[in-house]
Amino acid sequence: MNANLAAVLSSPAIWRGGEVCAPACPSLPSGFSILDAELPGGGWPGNGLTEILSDCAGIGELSLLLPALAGLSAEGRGVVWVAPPFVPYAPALTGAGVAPEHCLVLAPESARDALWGAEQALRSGACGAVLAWPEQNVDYRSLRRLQLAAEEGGTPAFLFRPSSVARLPSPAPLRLALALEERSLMVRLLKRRGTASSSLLSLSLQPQRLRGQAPAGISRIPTAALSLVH
Amino acid sequence: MLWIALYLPELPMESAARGAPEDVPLVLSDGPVHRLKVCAANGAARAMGIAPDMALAAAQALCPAPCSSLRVMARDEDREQAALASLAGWAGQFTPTVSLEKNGLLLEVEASLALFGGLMPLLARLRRGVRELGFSAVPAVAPTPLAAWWLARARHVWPGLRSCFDPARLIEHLRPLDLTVLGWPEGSVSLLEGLGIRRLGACLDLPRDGFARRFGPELATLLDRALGSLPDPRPLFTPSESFSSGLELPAEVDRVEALQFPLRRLLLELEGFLRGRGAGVSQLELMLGHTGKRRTRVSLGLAAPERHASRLLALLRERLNRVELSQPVVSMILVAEGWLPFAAENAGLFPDGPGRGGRWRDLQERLHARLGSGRVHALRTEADHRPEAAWRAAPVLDAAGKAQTPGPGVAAPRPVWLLRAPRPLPCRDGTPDYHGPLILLQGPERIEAGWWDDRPAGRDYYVAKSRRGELLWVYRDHRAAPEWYLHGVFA
Repeated sequence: MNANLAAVLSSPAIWRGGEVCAPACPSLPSGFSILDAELPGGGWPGNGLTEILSDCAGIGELSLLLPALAGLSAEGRGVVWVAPPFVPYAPALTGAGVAPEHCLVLAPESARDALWGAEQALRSGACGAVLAWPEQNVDYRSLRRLQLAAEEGGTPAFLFRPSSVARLPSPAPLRLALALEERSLMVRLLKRRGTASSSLLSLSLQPQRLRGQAPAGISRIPTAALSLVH
Repeated sequence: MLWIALYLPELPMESAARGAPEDVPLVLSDGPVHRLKVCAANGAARAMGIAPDMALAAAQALCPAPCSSLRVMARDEDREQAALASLAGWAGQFTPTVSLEKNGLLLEVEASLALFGGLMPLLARLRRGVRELGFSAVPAVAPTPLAAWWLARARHVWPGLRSCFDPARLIEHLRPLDLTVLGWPEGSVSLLEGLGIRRLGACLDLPRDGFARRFGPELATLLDRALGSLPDPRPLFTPSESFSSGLELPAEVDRVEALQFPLRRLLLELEGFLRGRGAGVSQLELMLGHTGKRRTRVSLGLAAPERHASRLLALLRERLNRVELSQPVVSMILVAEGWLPFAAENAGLFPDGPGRGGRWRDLQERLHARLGSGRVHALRTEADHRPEAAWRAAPVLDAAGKAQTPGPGVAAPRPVWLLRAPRPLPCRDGTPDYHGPLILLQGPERIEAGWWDDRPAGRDYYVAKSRRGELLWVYRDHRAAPEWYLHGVFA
């Protein structure tokens, strides 16, 4: 390539179709290098919605976020959990490096209150991240309000939704679909800023999550034949 | 000694009209039922030509006929005294020495000057504060309480009169005061006027023993007290143990937004009251009175003691937005008790609002106020081996202050999701079943604890994988049937 062309191409005003664009907003490193490489800005959007679509709980959808949350926790920033489906278990969070005292759990009475709480938390800019489990039929307008609140407050928001909404439009700048294949979590980027990504990322979460061993001194082995499968 | 007198000439009207901005014509009526007279009129009513001492019927005739917008309230001396007492409670933030006069307050402020940056800043704060509460006060300063009070009364008529700070020159300041404005008995004043004595100076020049014989020893004592040659002990105002202040709304209000204006006044009163005690509140009750005797009760619980009127107003507004007013509101009472020590926050050096810590606190308060105390919580770990007892929902703004109790230090994996209650799993051929038979990956981890309370646990925990690929935390209870339970999800 000739030198003049290279100079033109290196100008920040030039954007080439094949690049992952680097947005102006700060981003939140996800803690997974292969994921960071695919995400615009090298991490989770720092001031916008990220939709995480998966059909069942228990495939590693939270483990995907725990490194980022641990980073926020280390800075002393709070995390707001809006209407989580189960109890966020404090000892597990401590184990992952997320300080439970910096977590605020909302259990609102209605979906309206939940959206209100998420919007307040995002707009205030006081917390490090907002994790929300909206109703299945949450409408585009409400999501748009959340996106605007996140931009205003400069706060990342993670919405956990079923994969059936993948076909519906969403104002979120980043959408991921999760699936489990064998022992690794498959992440597909449905939508991101800049060029679309077709790659399927495979993150291995299991070894980390199961690194502990069963305590010694078990008194009684259950009667049923329970083989330990690896 | 330095006394500030606050004379409230419009107390009857202001104690009645505090609940509304001054754009509705309002008069207070007084006198026998068949011949009611106007005893006070607000600005809007005076603009229509209504003056005090007018017959009420005449005042009503002055109002445009089609929609007689003139509101009439009966004068109520109890209400005035209650308003004065709450104002005295509010003034307790400036000095502990507050004494009530009829239609006014006396504050001894010499010891407070250093704290408030001198007399002028203190007076400016007093004036602004009194105005925000909906009163208008005429202040005057003098070395003796009675002289301050007389000066304040005289200044209401002649605003040019100067305050006096020097005891040696007190007599000069008192001499030009007109006897008619001091609140002396009418008979004595007219008798003195008959003698050609109209000013206080001429009174002071009379021989004191002859003056006492002619006009009674009380007046002579007053003169000596005003000059400081006799002591003037005054009963001090003692604020009540709990705060309760109310006001009547001159017009019926059926929208929650319209309650903010009177509510702000009550909250400012509360703030002054709490400042006087160095305290904050964590529980507020607001009673909204409807016509008849019905009341709506709105209570606000705070996560941490608070006293700033603006913050309390923002929180109460969130709370009120959730209240459905079935009937229009005609009065409101704010009640607070149970003082808690209040740690005042330093104001920031830069005017960019509270830092992140303050905003996090505000956010928690706001969520707590709107969603209710049971629906917002922080997390804590507890030193217990039983999974359900190893965490606790902690009240907001409480967890941050206390160190976490470290858990028992388990090497075995713990799931991020815990089920609120363990869910029994069906069992086929000795294998637990959850959307198909489960494969046990790791375990067992024996947890045998709780024999000391009434929730003993004897369980073997396993990490299991379902057919769909979910990682689950299941246990086998070897104490009771059914045996297998789902307790957590490795998300």
